[in-house]
Amino acid sequence: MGEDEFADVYAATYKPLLGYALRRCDSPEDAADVVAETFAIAWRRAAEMPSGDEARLWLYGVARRVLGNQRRGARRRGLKTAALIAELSVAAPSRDGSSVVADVFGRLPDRDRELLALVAWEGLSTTEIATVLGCSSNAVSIRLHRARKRFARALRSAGVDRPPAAVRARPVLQESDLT
Amino acid sequence: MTSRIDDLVAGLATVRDGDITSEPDGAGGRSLLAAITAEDAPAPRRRRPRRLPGLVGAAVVVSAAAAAVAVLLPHGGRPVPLRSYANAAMSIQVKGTEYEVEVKDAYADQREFGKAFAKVGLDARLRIVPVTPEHEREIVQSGSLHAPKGGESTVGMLGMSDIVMKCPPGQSACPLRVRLSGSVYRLTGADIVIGRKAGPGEVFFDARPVRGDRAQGLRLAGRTVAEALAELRRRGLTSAFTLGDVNADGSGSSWASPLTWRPSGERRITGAWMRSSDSVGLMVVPQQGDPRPRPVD
Repeated sequence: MGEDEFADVYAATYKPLLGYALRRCDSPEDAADVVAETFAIAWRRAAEMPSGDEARLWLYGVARRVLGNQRRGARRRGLKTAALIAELSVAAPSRDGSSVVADVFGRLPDRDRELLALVAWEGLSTTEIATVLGCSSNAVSIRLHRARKRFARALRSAGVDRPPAAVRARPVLQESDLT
Repeated sequence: MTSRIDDLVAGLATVRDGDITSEPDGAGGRSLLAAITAEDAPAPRRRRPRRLPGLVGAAVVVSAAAAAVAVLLPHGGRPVPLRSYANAAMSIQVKGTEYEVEVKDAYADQREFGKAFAKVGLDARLRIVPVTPEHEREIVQSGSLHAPKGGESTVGMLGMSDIVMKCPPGQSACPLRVRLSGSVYRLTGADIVIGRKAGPGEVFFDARPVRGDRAQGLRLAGRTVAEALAELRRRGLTSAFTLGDVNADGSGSSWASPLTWRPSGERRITGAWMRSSDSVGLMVVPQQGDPRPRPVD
């Protein structure tokens, strides 16, 4: 993959990656680091990066590992992210930590939280999540079912019996839409 | 329970992609890209074998004249033909005048296939690419690689390619065989492209700009760019623009615009087609100031 092609992928996946990182990091600085490290890895491994929208899924997988390293205290890269951090500081609303639901969600195992987030925040299907996590769709379906049950149980234990109704739905391409 | 749980989690998102104002071509995005690409160039591709869903190894059978067998390995000062060869991507067994090739990693770098063919002296290039559902497991393109060696004429020579891809009833995965026969391949090489099931979002190799609507349920041709993009957003689909003018019979010319380029909202869509499971190609007639075609390397 040449520099022009990489720049095209960068342009197409920049916002989804920023969103992915911002939703999972405590600060814009951390999110900028995750994005910078993810794209730096993608550049080094550009020949392995799939084309089309699968590049986005592949990058989510890389970002997930980068995030894991960051949480384990890995050293920051120190790439030129000052301008990006400045932009993100304006864009990112502050995290509301007062919600009971957010507290319960935050106490879920990392793996459950990530699965639920990939569905609800990134809008991915089980097949797409399987690509991100490098496992089978069947495994994702089973883990997702268990994660939802654990979250529901934890909410009930916290006294949240009636979660709010649906707030948004993700449009899905039906097979009949294809020629 | 499921949808309420998902919606509950969705409500916890502190940022939605649409809220992000930082752009890839803004100051932050550009400086980051420049810093990244200033590092060492990407290393050559190396990856672990991965099975192609629904395709248990692809087998390619090449039939050609025995004289075409290559002579690559030196043996006692004289090269001798390889009777078999294997690498991480594929293995080749020579059986009489046929060459049976089993692809172990359908997602391998095509250069690995090329190396394997070269070891047995077959001048062939094999690519396995994502395609539209109607062209899965078909040869979507075949032809010669180069002009005839030694300037020989190929008039009257035959070159035939065939694909056998019938899974037994109830079997969802089975080998794929391609048979190439005819002496013309000895002189011009063979360029074979086989279609496989596309993964989510993978751009179809055979997606081509067309005039009119080629996506069932989508009525975008004739509508404005703004209307078309709104409709795609509503369906959760992305888009990529092509500039050009293609006639109903497929003649004409077109070229892809940069991924992030968008024409002004009042311009008219002349063609729409599925370019992947979740994206639609849109064609507009080029105007002055639009991106020009990229020179071909």
